[in-house]
Amino acid sequence: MNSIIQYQLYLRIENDGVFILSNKQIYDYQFEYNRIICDSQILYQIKDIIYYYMSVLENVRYIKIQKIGEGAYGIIYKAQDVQTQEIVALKKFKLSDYEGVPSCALREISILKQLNHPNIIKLISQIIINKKLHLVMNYYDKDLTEYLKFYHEEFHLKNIIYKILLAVEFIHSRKIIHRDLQPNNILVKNNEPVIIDFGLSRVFSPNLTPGVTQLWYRAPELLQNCHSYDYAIDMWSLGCIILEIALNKPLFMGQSEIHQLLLIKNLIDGDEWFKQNSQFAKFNNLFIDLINKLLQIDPTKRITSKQAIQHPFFQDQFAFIYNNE
Amino acid sequence: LPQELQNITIKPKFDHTIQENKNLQKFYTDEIFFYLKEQEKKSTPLEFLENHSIPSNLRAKMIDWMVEVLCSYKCTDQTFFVAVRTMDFYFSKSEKQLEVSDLHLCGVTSMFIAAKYEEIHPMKLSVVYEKIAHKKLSTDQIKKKESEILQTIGFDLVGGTLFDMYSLILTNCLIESKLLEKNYKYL
Repeated sequence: MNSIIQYQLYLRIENDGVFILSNKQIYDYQFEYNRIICDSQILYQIKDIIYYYMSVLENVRYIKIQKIGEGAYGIIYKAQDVQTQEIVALKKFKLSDYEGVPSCALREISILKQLNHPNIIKLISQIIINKKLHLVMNYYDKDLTEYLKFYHEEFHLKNIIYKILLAVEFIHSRKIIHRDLQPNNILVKNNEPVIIDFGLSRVFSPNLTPGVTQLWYRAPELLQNCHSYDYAIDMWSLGCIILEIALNKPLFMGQSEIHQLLLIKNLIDGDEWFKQNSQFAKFNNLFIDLINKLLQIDPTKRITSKQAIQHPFFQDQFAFIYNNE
Repeated sequence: LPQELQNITIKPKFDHTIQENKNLQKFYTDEIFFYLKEQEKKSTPLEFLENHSIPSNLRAKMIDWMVEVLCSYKCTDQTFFVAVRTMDFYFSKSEKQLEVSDLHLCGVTSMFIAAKYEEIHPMKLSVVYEKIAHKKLSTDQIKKKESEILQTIGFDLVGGTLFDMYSLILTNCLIESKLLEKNYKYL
């Protein structure tokens, strides 16, 4: 039995090949993991055989299992570490031939190396294979949007909000602006959030590009093409994210920049709007106060992450998001 | 013009002045200051010329030239400081002995890295090859050196520079605006 499977697998590897990452040598094949798993239920045996074949090749480190996401920067794969059996995420950057290492990769790696915090993704290592730069990071399977599709206890939600704020405070106190905070960039594992994707983030400087952050979470000063913004843009995105956690859907879903501004304009007299809108009737007063302070149109009036952590909503243990009735 | 359009007044563009911006930055001043001080101990390159046969006056010349190049390409001040820091850091970490002939390549490449890290619109590699290196260094050489430098310094580009430190101090003592009036930008 064993020998038959081995033989079949051997043929497969001959035909399809295996993509294996190594430090010294490059083996560039395609390997379809799923096809073999579907064929048979004895996954365990097959795994051993795969490792057997891989141990033949020297310096094997990671096998790609499947593609998770794709963006302008490159492709993210789910992969397995052969040595520790750990599942990791591999982020492959498209290295352009004429520009060398892309600037987003430069910033992401150098910034991630500085940030050592339980609620921020940890960079395990970075390797260059076949002239392509790969970042090896911890793997989490759920992001905040998927997490919110199911019902969760209220104190878990509050804990998540608080932990996100702590992580953002940590980022800001290192003179770094994240610039791409959105629910897709916050992963959740065991009710603990982890902030990822520092591809757009950078160290603060007086002159910056306004075209950052996803449209729904973009601060008004960015929509108006301001070149000298600061940490307050992250606080606006956080305000939108916290509201999304509580409402279970995004609040401002604009289709264009103008549309987004029109949706936001209600917040000019925020106090009144929050009182009148029936959507917010079920919320605790302290929570509405926190949201109102985060979603200020004027960035100089918006509270900082440090002030947000000290907000009475988090000081009071019994303050919940919704009114108890 | 129709009546309705005449009544519309165009509002002045919504933009903060730098002054307001700097005021906001003050909220994190304490944390950033202590963080930079901590970084300074860890990541300031020390005794960078000890292992190499590069005389200090040639390095000084290189830095003068860097100022010239980066000014002519309208890069920010911070870019220059990052470039110098990257080069010195590479010298102090590099294990193999560098010759005088390597200095030119190291300088050009660290400027290229710093521009990519700091600028909104960094200079292209073709510009570096044609205008800055005057076709004396090939693009492959620059790219190879780039990955070598980045791996040697372990991608550590964030660590604070002198410029970070004193721009923080000057803005908080409200001296910078006074200096800017008199065009003392580098003081």
